[in-house]
Amino acid sequence: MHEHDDDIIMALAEGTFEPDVLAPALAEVSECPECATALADQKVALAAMRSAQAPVLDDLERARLHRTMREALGIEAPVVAEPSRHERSYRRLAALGSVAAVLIGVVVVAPYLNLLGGGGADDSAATTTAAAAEERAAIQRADTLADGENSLGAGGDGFETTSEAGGESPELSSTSAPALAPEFRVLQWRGSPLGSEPDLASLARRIRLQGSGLFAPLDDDSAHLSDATANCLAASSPDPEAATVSLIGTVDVEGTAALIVAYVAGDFEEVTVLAIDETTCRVVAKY
Amino acid sequence: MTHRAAQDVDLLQRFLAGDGRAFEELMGAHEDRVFGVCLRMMRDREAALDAVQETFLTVFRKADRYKAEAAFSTWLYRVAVNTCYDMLRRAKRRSADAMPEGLEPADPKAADGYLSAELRPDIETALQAIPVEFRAAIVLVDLEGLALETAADMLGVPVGTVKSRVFRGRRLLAAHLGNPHGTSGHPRVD
Repeated sequence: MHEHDDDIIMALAEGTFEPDVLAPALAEVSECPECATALADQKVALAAMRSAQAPVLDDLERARLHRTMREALGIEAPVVAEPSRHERSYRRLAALGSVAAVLIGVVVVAPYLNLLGGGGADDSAATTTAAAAEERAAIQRADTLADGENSLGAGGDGFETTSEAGGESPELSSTSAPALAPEFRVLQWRGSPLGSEPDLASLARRIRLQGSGLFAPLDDDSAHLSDATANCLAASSPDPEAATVSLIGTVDVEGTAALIVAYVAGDFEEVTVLAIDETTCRVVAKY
Repeated sequence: MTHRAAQDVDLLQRFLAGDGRAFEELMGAHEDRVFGVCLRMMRDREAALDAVQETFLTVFRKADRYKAEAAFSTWLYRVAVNTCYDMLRRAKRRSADAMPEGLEPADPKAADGYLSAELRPDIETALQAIPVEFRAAIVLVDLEGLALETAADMLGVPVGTVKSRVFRGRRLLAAHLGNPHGTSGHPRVD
């Protein structure tokens, strides 16, 4: 069987030959047992593939994908200038102003509406309740604008971000890129009782999602590392092509501290996450 | 340029100009097909969903590097296939590190994967048994119905290579499926 026969066999199997060349092609193949077998193979495989339905995401999967991507978009969307303190105050005032306007509407206009429409006490109470709800929502909106919506610690997957500098959560608004804040780089396994292992795969996904660029490169922090940690990291050096290496933090795996390191390498700048046993300096997991 | 391709470029430009919603729209237009490719490559839905996420995150981070020389979808699926290759490589490394070959524990998700991949279990098994490069070519050409030229662009290989992979991949599939007409045995992989 020659290589050019492959084209003929594929075309026969796919049914893409013009009628005038179909008969000679079939004749050629029928004279060659190997070609006939190859044609049968092609037809079997094609029929199997054509019987397949296109898979689609189910609702839960789609929701998960969208949530993940929204988080990523919120974290990494193009930089929009943070509102200044003055602007934030103005926005808060504006929000409160709108609440005041609603309240004035309720107090001043509603009685007239009642007079005209004959509404009872229940309607008035309902209106007041709605106004109060709107007030709460408006204040919440103002606070959200002022304080940002997302924090790294809100993932709900067992990890929290702690600040070495203070107790506040990092501010990551949905429209601004995060400022690299080394003091927020420590991730700690939360509530890991004995016998319960941290979900390192989940941690790795999360780091990958956020991008290792969110964390300080190791070089910037090496001065703060203990000698043991620095030696350990040097001993288990990751991919030599890694552009940046970041120490994300430590997790406790069955009583042993493991360093979590992320680095970026490869054509598609793949983020790889390593867990390194701090005692033996051995890579215990790679994601 | 098709209407879809023009829309993709428009959405990408809007995203690069700072419109995050445009990216969501772009994703919505392609997520099912990207998921389909990833599911065929990765076999189980969880891994496929991870691959889809990584694909869109890569596209999100590198959107400014897209050159409109090829359709956006070609670039997107190329990223998806490469992401799957990478994840499969990582999984293989992990399982090789974890224990000696042949002693891997059964994947508890695999049974669900059979059902959820919308392929007959024997076809799914056969597809997973062939080399990943052949699988990618067959997924793009036979399952996604793409032209050989488009698949070649996506895979970053010449058209002849894709054609050869499809041809040989189909023969391997038939051998795994037990072609009732053929006596081909197991065709050569390379």
